[in-house]
Amino acid sequence: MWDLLILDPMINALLFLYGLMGRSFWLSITIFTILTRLILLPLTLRQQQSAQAMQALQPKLQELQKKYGKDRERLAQEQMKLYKEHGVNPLGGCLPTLLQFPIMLGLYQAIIRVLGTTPLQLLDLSRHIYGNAATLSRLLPLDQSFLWLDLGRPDPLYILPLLVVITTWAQQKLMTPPATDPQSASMTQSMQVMMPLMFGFFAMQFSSGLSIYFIISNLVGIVQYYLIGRKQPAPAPQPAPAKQAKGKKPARSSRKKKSR
Amino acid sequence: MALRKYLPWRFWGLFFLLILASVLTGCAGGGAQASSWFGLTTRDDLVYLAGNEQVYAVEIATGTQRWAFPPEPDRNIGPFYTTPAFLDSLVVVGGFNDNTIYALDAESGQEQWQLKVDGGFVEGGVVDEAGNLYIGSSDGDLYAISPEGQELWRFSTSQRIWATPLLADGRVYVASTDHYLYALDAAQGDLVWQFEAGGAMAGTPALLGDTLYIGSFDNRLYAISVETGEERWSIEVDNWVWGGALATEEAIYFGDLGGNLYAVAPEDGREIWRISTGELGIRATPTLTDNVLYVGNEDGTVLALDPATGTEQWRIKLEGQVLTPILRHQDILLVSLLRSESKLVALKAENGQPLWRFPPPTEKK
Repeated sequence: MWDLLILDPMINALLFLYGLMGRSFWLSITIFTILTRLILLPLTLRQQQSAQAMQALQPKLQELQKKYGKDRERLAQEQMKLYKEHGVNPLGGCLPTLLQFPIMLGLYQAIIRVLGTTPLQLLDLSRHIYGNAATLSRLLPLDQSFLWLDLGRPDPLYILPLLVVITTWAQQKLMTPPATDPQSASMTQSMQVMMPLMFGFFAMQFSSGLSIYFIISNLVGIVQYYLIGRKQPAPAPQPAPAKQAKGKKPARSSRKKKSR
Repeated sequence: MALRKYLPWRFWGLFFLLILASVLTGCAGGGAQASSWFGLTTRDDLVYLAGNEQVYAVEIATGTQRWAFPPEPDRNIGPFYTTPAFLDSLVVVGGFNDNTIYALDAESGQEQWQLKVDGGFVEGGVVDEAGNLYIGSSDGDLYAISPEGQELWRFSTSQRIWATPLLADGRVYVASTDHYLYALDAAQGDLVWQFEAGGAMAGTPALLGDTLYIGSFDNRLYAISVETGEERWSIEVDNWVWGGALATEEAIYFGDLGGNLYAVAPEDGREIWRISTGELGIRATPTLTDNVLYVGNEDGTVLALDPATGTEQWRIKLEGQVLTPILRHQDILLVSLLRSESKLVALKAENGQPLWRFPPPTEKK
């Protein structure tokens, strides 16, 4: 199912773009990454809106922190109440990221497989090309050279891993909403260090084609943020509509109160 | 609700990041043992097999290991895909990741010399009467190497060479994944002619009379004039043709990665018979001895067939994948296996019954 829905379409799309781009694999990865990010744009926008809404709630969350900091259960209850009152889902920033997860994983696998760097990988690739289309098969093996790079091997000069670290850090910095409490702040800080380093480590270990994907994806994310995210007025958290307040959410809230 | 209370969403971000890290690492094979198919060669009473990170010499009669190089798997050596070749008393193999040719003493497995080049090795080399080795590399070069391990000449192509060359009448014929088959002068490495196919080629050309036969990833088998390099005919099949063809006066036998085995007429490519061996592919060149055609496929099935009609005589399903040619030594068939506990299995040629496995399977409690 994974191969049918995610991996095979991506492999064939990469090959098709490779042919279209004059047999340039780095261009094929670049175009494909941009297209993928465009398809994911609605999700990205929701993620940004959620982050901005969370940001706008900061003062109130900090007040709650001061007021109920010692009573964690009460603090959590009050925070949830605040989110509900303003129609903000604290997981709203997380869900789009989770939905991007299979796409990112599929892209990674597709790039590795389409490069067919080892004989077994190339053998495996033959099973993923549509209808074993001789037209796409004729494009193989891909020309892996780009500037000083062999796209099937890690960058020997470590320039791409460095760019991966910088762009991942920059995108993280822009997209991450501010923390609501010291625990979250510490977590956010460690993620902003760990994530770029981890992706930098991947870039050092794996094919430089993958590094190109990371860099382009991060750059597109940054550009999207500046072009779209910043222009959107930060959604000032509004009290939830009356219908909603009287409907599901208060009902859930009252159930919670009963259970406690 | 309780989870959300105590574990903020940033936790989940970090959690999924760690999952992603482990999945990506697993996908790329980071940390895993290098895997490759095992090439086989026999000499006297020994079979030599090279695969993963070691080369072995095994007694054909019993399946007992004579030696291994290196004695324990070494991540810095190999992995070996190459079929071992003989340089007099030396057995020669090439590593894929370490880009190194190793010449080992055939009796003891002791390393005699090594030569490092710019690319890894996938298929073995061929040796001429003077003891010179001709071997292609992933750096796109075909190397001519003296018995002492000195480079004599090299011929460059624009993509990886993953095929064993053919040596005939003072010429070396080698296929490259750059879509060309090259004919070179064996003494100097000068180009005689080149033939362009529609796709990459990774098999050894088969020579019959004045015609070379070779398959390609463009789903075609080509017949090419050995003198001029011009195409005589070509036929379309269902899938990539990776392995070499077997050429006889009666038929050209070859398999494709769709699991089909074909017998076609040498003069015009007319189909004599074809059979499907299963859904998974045939990479290995078929083997013909004593009027029986043997072939293995990726799902581990080994078949014995009547070469005239393709009628099945017997079949056996082994655990693992058969990706390299089956060898026959007297009344024993030697089959190498990928993704199996045993790397090599010996079968009775008459009915396919297993005789021994190397290494022997561990007993299940």
